[in-house]
Amino acid sequence: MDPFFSAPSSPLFMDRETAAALRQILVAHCHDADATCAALIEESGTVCAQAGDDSLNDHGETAALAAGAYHAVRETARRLGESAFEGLSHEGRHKHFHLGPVDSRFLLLTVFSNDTRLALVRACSTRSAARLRDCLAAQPPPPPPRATASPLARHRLNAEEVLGTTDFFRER
Amino acid sequence: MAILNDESREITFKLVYTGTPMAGKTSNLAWIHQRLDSSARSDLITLATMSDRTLFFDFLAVESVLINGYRSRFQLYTVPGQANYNATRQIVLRGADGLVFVADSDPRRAPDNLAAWHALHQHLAANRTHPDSLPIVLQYNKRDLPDALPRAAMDQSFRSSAPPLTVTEASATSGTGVFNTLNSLARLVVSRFHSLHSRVPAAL
Ligand SMILES: Nc1nc2c(ncn2[C@@H]2O[C@H](COP(=O)(O)OP(=O)(O)OP(=O)(O)O)[C@@H](O)[C@H]2O)c(=O)[nH]1
Ligand SMILES: [Mg+2]
Repeated sequence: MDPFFSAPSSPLFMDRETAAALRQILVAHCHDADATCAALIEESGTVCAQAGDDSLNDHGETAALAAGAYHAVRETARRLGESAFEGLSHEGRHKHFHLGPVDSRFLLLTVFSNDTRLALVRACSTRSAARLRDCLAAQPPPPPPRATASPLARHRLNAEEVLGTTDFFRER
Repeated sequence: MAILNDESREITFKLVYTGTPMAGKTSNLAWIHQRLDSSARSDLITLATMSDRTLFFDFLAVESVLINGYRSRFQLYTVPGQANYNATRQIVLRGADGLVFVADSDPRRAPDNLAAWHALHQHLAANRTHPDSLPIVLQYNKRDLPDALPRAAMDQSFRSSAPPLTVTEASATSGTGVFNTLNSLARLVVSRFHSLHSRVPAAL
C-alpha cells in the first residue's frame, strides 16, 4: 500500500513555539523562492502556518480547495501506476502556484508571480519541506490520551454530561 | 483530525456529510450557509456537475463558541453520493472527526440507503478507521415527503448493521432539523475529544 495512505491521522497539538518556528521557515521560503505567499496546509484543508501577503486570509475556502486538488491529483497518479508524487503547479497569466508534499499529512502551498521561475519555487519547496518536517517532528509529544477512556464506544459517552445542551450553532 | 493551535487559540474539527446519493447532503450545507451570519462562516464552495450533482465536495467553514479560550471552527464537507465517485469520496472522508450519514426517507430509496451505508464502512476500513471510533449522526432526511417511510421502519432498516447511533429527522430543503443535526454531531465530536485529551476543558 502507498505509504501516504497507510496511517490514520491523530489530533494535532501545535504549541506557540512550533507555530512561530513554522512561520519563520515560511518567511524564509517566501524570501528564497521570491514568492508572494506560502502556507503549510493540513490534509483537511486547515492552514497551520502562513507567511507573505493576505491571499489566504479568507475563511479557509482556498486552502480547502488546494488540499482537495492536491489529493485528487496524487490519487490520479497513483491509479495510473505512478507512486512518486512531487506535487503539482498551475501557471496562470499573473499568479501561479505550486503545491508540494511535506509529509503524509501536510503540504506546502507557494504562490508566486511572473518574476519568479517555477524551477526555483520547486527547488525551494523541497528544501523548505524538509525544514517544516523537522520542525513538526521536534514538537513535544502530544498529551497522552486519558486513561479512563475505554477504547471502544468512547464517543457514546453521554455528550450531555460534558457539554450540556450547548448549541454550537444557532439559526438566524 | 482535530487541530489545536495554541498561537491562534483555535481548535478545528472536520465534519463530513456522507450518505445516500441525492439524499440531501448538499442541501444541508446550503441551509447552514444561508442561516449563519456571514461573519461566522465562509463562502459555500460547491464542486458540482452542470446538473448540480456533487462532483468532488462541497465545503463550508463555520465558527462557533469559545471552548476555554479556544475559538472552535468546524470544516464541513459533503462527499459525492454517486457510486462512480468512490475514489473522491474516500479522499474527502480521510481525517474526519465526525460524520453525518444523510439517508433518504423516500421508500423507493431504502435499498440505496443500505448500499451507501455499506459503502461507507468499506471506505472507513480502507482509511483504517474503525466505525466505533468515529462519532456518527444518522439523519433521516426528506421527512416532508407525503409517503416518507415511518421512523420505525427507517430504524428497522438500519438496526441490523448500525450501532445505536444518534438519529435526527430533517427536511433539508426547508431547514427543519438541519441545525439540530449539526449541533448533535458537534456535541459528540467535542465531547469525544474532551474524553480523549485532557487538555480540552470540561466546561464551555
Ligand atoms: N422533498 C425534499 N427534497 C429534498 C430534501 N433535501 C433535498 N431534497 C432534494 O433532493 C435533491 C438532491 O439534493 P442534494 O442536496 O443535491 O443531494 P446530495 O445528497 O447532495 O446529492 P449528491 O451529491 O449528488 O449525492 C434535490 O432536488 C433537492 O432539492 C428534503 O428534505 N425534502
Ligand atoms: Mg451533493
